[in-house]
Amino acid sequence: MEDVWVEKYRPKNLDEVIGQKEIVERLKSYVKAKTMPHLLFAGPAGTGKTTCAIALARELFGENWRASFHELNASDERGIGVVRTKIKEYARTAAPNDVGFKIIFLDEADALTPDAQAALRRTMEMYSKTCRFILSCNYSSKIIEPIQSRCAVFRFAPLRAEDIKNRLKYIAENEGKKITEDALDAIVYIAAGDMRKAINILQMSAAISDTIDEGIVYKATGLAKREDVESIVKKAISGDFVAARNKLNKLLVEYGLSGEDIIKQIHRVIFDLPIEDRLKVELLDRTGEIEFRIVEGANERIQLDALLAYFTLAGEKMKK
Amino acid sequence: MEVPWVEKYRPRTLKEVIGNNTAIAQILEWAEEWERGKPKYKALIIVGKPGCGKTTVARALAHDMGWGVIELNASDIRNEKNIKEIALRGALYQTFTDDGEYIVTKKGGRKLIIFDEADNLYEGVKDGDRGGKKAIVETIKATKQPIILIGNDYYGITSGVWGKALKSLAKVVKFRSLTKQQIVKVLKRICSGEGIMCDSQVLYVIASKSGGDLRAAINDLQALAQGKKTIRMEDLDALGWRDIRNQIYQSTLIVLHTTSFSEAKRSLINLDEAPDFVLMWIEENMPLEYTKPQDLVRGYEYLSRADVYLGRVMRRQQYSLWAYAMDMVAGVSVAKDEKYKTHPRKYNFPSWLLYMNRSKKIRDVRDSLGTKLGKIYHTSRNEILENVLPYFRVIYDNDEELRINYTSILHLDEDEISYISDRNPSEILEKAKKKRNEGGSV
Repeated sequence: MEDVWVEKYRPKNLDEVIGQKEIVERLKSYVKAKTMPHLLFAGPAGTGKTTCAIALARELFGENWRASFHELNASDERGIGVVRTKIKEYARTAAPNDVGFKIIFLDEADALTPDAQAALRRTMEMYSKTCRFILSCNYSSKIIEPIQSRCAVFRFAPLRAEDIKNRLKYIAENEGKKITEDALDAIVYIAAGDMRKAINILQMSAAISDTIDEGIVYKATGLAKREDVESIVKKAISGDFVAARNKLNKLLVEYGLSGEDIIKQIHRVIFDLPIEDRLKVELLDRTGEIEFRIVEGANERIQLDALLAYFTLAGEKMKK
Repeated sequence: MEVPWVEKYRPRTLKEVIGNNTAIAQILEWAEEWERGKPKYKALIIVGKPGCGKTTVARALAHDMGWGVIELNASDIRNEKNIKEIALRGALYQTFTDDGEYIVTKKGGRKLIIFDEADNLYEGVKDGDRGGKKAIVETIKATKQPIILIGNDYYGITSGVWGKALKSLAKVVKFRSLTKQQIVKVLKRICSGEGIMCDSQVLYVIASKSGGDLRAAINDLQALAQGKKTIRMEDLDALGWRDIRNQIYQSTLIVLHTTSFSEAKRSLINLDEAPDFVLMWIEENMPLEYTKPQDLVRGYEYLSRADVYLGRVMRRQQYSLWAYAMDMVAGVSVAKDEKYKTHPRKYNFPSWLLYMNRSKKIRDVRDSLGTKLGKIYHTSRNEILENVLPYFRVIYDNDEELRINYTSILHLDEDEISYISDRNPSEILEKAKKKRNEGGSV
């Protein structure tokens, strides 16, 4: 196998898209009418937002779709400067096709600062003749109201287990790999509705062994595991604050996780901690406050360290 | 005598200048107004502490705009007649000489008149100084060329009747002193330019000592490096600099040892350090001293609040909030219920700074890898690093065909390969090269 399967098996047209039936129907009607409003795709990772955007562009613009489809990542370039320069530059030029407009696909649009979003709103209005936007985000609530009201909003739901399973079976067959039912179930369980994750796990397992059973799947996901948030939190609870802090630094620096990513994971981990419920509630409250401080512009490392100290205290309270 | 590094490494263009981005943007805007025709203000006043880049920026601006430069050092020529003679003439006519020196500019081009040390110009009513402010106001009114006044003291420049008039004629741009990190960045650049090995700890000490004055920092570095290719912490001590290194150490010790808020506050005020650096020191060492979790939590809550204030300072440029950040840091002293009887053997330099320095390369490698994979996977670098790279790493490591293919199409280099695989990078590169030459599959 030469390619990453996520790309190799990314659906080429709307009919191939897995799940999201209503959304696909609406998108097809845009293709038929050869027009579309600005779109906002909201939903968790691996549910088909990027796939739908690319498939839509392919069907609208035909063979030369790439010339009319511009992909931008808001989280890589999140400042107002990008909106004022790059996006505007591209938006104002005429469409190189007979449909009459081109598409800017702005991925992770919720990473844009409110200022940048406000600037984007004007650009969307001014150049809507020649350029339509597809904004994609995890939470539509992070997109300012005036932009939402200018878009047709589509909510992508996590994919059904059955749909993911069928897709995995198809890929495995196509690649000449044997996979057991147990292994399929394991992947589907770990992926939790995220198709990209499911396919990545499948390919990982296939890279290790030609026949894939449950054991191989867990072995593969074990290999992909790294210093994780859960072990950091547990270290802090056990009372070894300094070690927890060092591990956290590693996550921030070497793996490049953002403070917001880490705090979201901490938020998820708290529910399963071996501490009493009232302490959990207190910790959740602290976590929310710390996330707010980070969003407000504080230094993520210092804030996360402060949060870890609370876990150490919670661990101390448990001992008594 | 060697060329002073301050001159050797002085930025020629605005792009090379470190720090004061907002101020520079304002200055550029002003310059572009001149180019477009009639500017709202014909003159600009740049104020800021020594060594924050005022003169450098003014000269670099002229360079970038393609303007000639006339520099008047106000300490030399301070009376009305001289100023008018030189500046008005220079402003109204196309070419002229300053102190007999002929200034060549492109024909008919604009000339930027720089009055350096402008606060001296207005300082006194001593003999020979009389009418300085008046002269400058008249000059600005009459000039057809851009004028920049540079000084340390805003109130010195804008006080008095003529000072007020000046204020209405000129746009004021304030420069901030450089942060320690910015200074260290410049010093590092110089070290590599000069082939000098130097601990970043040393550079931080130099930067601390400079108090935000880049010129002083560069001069200190040059003095330290005299006849050496490596600089160590001991070299600083030999120069009698032990004090500086010790000051922040002492303050950290006091804040962590004492339970008196006023004592802690006093030690920080005397320190004359920026709160972000002090915060780092306290944060580094607090967990070593405060071994009771309740104290640790309280201490961190204060540091967290201090950090929130620092964030607001950055966002709003509201430097008055610094005082509260410092109060919160001092508050760490009273976060403990009682003094600790045992103390750590020693306190440490902020490991985060050293860690960031050591990990610079690995972060660069990681980010470039993330960007490259983002193109393949149609997603952002962050998303790759968080949710894709762990899987890709395993696939890459275990599937040779894919490994060679992606090494080739992503143009991975040795460092990038080593980041995702323990295999021998040169072997992989060799195979990828072979594959590319064959123009097909392996």
